Amino acid sequence: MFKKAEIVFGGAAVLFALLFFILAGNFPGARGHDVGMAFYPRVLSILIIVLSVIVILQGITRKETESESRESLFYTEDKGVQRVVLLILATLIYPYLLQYAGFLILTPVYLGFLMWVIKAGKAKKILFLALLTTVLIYVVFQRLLKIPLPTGLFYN
Amino acid sequence: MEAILSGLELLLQPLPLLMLFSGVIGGIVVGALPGLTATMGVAILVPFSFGMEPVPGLLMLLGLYAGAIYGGSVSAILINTPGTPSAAATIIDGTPLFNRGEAGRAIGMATFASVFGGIGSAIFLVTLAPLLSRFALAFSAPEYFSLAVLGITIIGSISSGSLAKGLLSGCIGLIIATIGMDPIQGYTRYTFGTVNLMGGVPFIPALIGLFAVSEAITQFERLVEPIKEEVNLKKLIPSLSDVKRVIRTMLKSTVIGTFVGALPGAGGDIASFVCYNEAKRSSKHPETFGTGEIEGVAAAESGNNASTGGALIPTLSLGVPGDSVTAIIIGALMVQGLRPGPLLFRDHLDIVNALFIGFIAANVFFGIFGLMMAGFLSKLIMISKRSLIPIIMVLAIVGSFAMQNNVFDIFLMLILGIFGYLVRKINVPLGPIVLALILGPMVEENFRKSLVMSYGDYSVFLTRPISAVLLLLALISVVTTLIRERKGKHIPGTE
Repeated sequence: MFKKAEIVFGGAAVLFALLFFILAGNFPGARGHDVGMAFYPRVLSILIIVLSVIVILQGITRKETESESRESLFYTEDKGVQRVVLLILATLIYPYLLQYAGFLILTPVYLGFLMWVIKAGKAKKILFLALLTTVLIYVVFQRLLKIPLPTGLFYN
Repeated sequence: MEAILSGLELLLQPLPLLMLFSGVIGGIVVGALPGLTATMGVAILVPFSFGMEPVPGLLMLLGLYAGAIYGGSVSAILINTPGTPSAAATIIDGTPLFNRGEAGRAIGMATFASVFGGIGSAIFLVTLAPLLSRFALAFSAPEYFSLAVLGITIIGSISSGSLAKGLLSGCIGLIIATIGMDPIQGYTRYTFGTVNLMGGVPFIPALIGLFAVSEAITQFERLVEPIKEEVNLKKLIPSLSDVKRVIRTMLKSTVIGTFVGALPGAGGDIASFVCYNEAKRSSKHPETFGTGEIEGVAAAESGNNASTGGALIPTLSLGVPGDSVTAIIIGALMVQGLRPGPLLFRDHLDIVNALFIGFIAANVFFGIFGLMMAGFLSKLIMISKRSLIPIIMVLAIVGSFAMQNNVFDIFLMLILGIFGYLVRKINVPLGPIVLALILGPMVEENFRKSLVMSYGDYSVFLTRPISAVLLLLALISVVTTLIRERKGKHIPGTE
């Protein structure tokens, strides 16, 4: 799996570099002795493609190590991948909702949810830590450091 | 002499001293908490420094810097997780020492070594930075270009994974750095119409995402067993025999660490591994390394704290960041109207001296506070590693939001976090990407300026002596890494 993943990564990097290369066609060109806006990104894309090909070739030709043949790329036992997905989803929803409901309300929910997913302990402990952390962060950032935290409609 | 006195005058006031102390203590805590790095801590506090006079504001940041690089060792030893990337090498011998019940001895030595390295590098800083700043007058666009190229090349060469992966990672970072306004004319590139990318990919959320969030995702995937043991923190003060055992290594690591720190972009994470490997290689008993050899801890910790003073050398004298923290500090300096370079030493020598003395003091303070706080810190960290990860996620989100008050930055952090998580699985190093984000604009701007200056003559990079030397060093770094790879050896990675 690992070797395949390296090859996939190399391929993705090639596509990524090609995208940048092609888009640079729209940039203003050289003026006088300045090489222009497209030169540097295009040189980089070529470098990326060359290096990606090397990585792909290395991925194809090298031998799989012992640990790699034993393990899989993603940890599917114990619902590892599910936890990752839940973390990512929660981290997408939480900032989005911050525009509406504000830091003090959403953060304990987010924290509590994640702590439950990661099996951090009993419900009481999770609740306590989630609330305590939220309050501490609020006090330190908003009050002490005067760094504004996302507020919601209620505050406006 | 009077310059030193005027520096002391600026330093020995209530506010600067308070800021220095709080910075150090905050730094130790930030460094000890895995997921919060020195860079993040400095980044989050920088806006706070804008409202203050230069000396207290910068002293807070310097205190945090020194404290955090030290603080990472505590969690490295206690919970087998580096509090900051620069403590990764400390785990190799720190964890076995903890398992043997010698956590106190390890933490004590880590503290001692960190103070030693930090003060040693401060001596280099104080003597070399003014000299180098005069040298800076010989630096023009070609030299800055070559210096930036050297920085990225070295990181790509030393990082984990193959040389190709390291350089690929660096180039990907460089091309991402082209997103936004170009450095010469402000023409916006690759922004796909969104205003949020016009300033380029914001560096702090990118860093937080690539390091902290990717680590959090990895920890969610593979749960770690919670630790329940009591920690034995006796014997904190290093014994005389321990000191005798490690003194030569510490001296060497301090020099190496300062030098690595002074290389643009290379910081504590690289320095600690280079020093560790050198200590093991030149030791009469290399087989003990990795089993709980106290010398390993000493090498790594004096190396990483030495890199802090080293990183400040090009920062203050040339305006080129020695590592990611000093990249932010340059920003803080500019906001205060202090331009790094020879003028800084000419017109603001009192401020510079205050910062020098304060930096030395910070290195002493974290030693004292660190030993005093060891008990408290160990309890804090051991509460539950699992609870820490969600808390780190919240801090990451807040930290990413705080810089520009923009929710978009949070999503950027997440995207890069997922990218970092995936890419780590195939041993592609993340360090080069971050460095490329910092140094990228410098590379392109100076490349194009050089060509304009030389009327299109490319040989300018090789005919100017300093530039040629720097590029040659970059080439040497690549070639030696290639040779090492052929032979089958490779430095165990940093990220």
